Amino acid sequence: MFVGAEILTYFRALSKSICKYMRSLFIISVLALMAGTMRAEGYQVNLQSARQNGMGHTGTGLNLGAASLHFNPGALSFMTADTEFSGGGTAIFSNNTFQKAGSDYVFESDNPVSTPFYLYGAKRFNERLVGGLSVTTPFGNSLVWGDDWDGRFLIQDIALKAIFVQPTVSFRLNEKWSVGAGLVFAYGDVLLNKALPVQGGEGDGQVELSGKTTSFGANAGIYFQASEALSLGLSYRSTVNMEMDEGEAKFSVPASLRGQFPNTTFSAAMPMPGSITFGAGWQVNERLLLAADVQHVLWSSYKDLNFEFEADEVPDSYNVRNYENTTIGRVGAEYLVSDLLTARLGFAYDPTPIPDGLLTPETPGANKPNVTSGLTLRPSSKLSVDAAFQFIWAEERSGGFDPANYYGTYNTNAVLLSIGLNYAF
Amino acid sequence: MKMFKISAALLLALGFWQCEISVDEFEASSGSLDLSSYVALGDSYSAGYVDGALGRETQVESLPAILAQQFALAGGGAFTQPLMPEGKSIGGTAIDEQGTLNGYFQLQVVNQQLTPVPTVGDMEVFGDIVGDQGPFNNMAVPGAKASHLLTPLFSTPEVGNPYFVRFASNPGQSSVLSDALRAQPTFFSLWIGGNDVLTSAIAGGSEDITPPQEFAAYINLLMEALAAEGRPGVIANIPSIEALPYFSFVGTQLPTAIAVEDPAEEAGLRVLLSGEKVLLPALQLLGAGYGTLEKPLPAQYFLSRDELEAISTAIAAYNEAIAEAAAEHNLALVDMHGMMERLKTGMVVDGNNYSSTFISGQVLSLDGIHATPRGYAIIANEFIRAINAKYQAAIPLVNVNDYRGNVFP
Repeated sequence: MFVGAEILTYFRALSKSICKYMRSLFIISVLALMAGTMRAEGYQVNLQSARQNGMGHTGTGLNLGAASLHFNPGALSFMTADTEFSGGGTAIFSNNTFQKAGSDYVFESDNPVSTPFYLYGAKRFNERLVGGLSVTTPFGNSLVWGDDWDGRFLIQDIALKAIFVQPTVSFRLNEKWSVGAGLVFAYGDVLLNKALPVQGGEGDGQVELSGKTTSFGANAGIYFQASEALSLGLSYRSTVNMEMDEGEAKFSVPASLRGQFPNTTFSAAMPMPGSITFGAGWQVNERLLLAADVQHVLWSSYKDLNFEFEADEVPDSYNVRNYENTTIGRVGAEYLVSDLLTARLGFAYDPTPIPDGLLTPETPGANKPNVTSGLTLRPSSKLSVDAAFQFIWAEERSGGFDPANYYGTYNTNAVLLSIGLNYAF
Repeated sequence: MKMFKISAALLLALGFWQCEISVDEFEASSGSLDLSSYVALGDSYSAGYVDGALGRETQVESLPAILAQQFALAGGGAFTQPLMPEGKSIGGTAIDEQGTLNGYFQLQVVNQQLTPVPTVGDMEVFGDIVGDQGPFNNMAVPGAKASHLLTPLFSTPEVGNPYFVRFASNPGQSSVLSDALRAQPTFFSLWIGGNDVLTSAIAGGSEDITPPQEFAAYINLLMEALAAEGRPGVIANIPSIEALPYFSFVGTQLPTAIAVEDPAEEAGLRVLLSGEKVLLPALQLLGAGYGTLEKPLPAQYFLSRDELEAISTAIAAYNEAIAEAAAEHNLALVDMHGMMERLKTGMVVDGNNYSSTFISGQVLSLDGIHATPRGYAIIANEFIRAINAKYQAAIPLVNVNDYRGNVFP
């Protein structure tokens, strides 16, 4: 998307030849640069600003300009420009492997490159009041294990997307305090395929479940400029419950069973979990800014994923999830190298919300350390270009999904490349 | 400089992404076992009998063949089976007046109902004599009882078992046991005893059950040869017949009361009692109006309480003899009785729910007695777990989803 296909092909070809040395080299380079990063746990996607992606996705306690629409609406009124537009996206290259318990079976997923994006626009109305609109993709999941892999009766592939549109106002109370709130209009769609254990001449049956829906939520925050150097922020994002009434279920089964598996509609619900984030920023000197965030994610709202089919012949499907709340820690640093260039580093640790015994190949979660780096180029006083590079390597996780009696060891890694443009005047 | 470093990291990261993620590969091991020559002895369950018949198509996915395939990942040797000619199969049920035997059953829609329909068997298969191509590693013979494995009568043309006559090394002279030893086994499996009760149970009776003391004696004779000099092996016990749809399915389809023949009654008939089992072939008769006072269901189509009692008593005694043999000779014991009991209430394996329900349960094939290839794969994993535990081995489990269940039209 953001990197030309030819360049990628070139990188891959080049890298193949030096693959064996890569690990040690990479670790050394990470240590040298303190750089690297990854995609978030569960199906949360913490990639809402190419700038912040470079510093561990901190920012709740920072004055970010238009990007505060997402990170902390309370900080928006401290925006320095009168008008600011910001937009960008990330290309996620992810790999998952599964090594089956007790077996020599090893399989690697073939995930497509996924491309979350964001757009922000904010305008100052007066000294105290700033309004804006954000379009973000804070949740999503994209995994392709394939039609014939061993766990096909649990999942073959899934593509889950959510787009949040958020009109927001922020009001500065005085020199130090500011508040803000936004209303979230959420759109979500899902497409998943799984095999069914009814075989015909052409192999296993299959069901495709798809649908889209809309929902509402809110985002609010408080920002406190404690001193010239120290800033603090607290933000709250509500859980957005995505309820779907008219999902479509399409069955491919042997002809003699078609009466038992008619194409039908289904209802299902899935929460996009809310979170409470506390953040701090410390402007150490003119060049160095440090930031830290603690984000408490309300995953426990995801208790089950149930598909209730309209047709009586099709049995409803109840799937326990019982996710647990998590707390993500983030730190980041930004260094002003010159008027032209800013460099960033960051680290985040994103624990998995998925309890032991409920680990599925649909979301093979694990604790994820995440190292990030990034830079900003400022060709003019109005325009800046952000880029970030992150590497995520999940801790190896052995376990499985008790209700399906499916166990193994999952490994996940991902490389993320972000780019963003900001225009302020 | 910074730019250079960042681009270098970028390049390296892309390279790393391209590299495979490190995976701890499964380290297969045969533990204390030498699996270079594995020999299987047994009946139709070990021969590869599926859908009412034996043929090459299911022989290649027989329980011992699956085991040998997994053994091969832990140092196991070649595994030779007396394969039938391509595309042919033969069962044991006469499908017409001339006594033509069936081939594989197929699921077809008949009168808008899914029905297992027998194909015509290939009688000429029995003339395909392959005894000189041995020794064979799979010595299982459909229809074999424990005593049959010990006698050369079993390989004698005319009086013997046609499946065995076909591949015995010396028809009329060799027994299953003597031919099994020709392969100089380093490891064996024995799963025998089903037919010692099933032969009469399938015929709706209990008079032909092998007495438990005799059964134990046959097992001991087999052990003396197979487990000689501490040769390791695996032995499986016998499931209860209630776990098989052949005996359990019709009961779920019956009207409230049906009449059955019973010569012990004055009227020569009575009502089927609860707990009594109507056999699968009775479905056709019931459809044709049997089961009424005018046309009571003939005695060979159901098992009375007394007959069921005799059968389950025998199975319990056999299983005791099998457990004793396993303990005495330090063999791995597979509790197939236990597994089939679990199957009755449903068993989840690798994302699917299996049961002992006819056809839709997926473990038992269209004849209601034998397993599907997927069922045999599930059974193979029971065997592998028992072997791994007994001999400190790490033989990889088989992927059951690679094998077919029942195939729908």
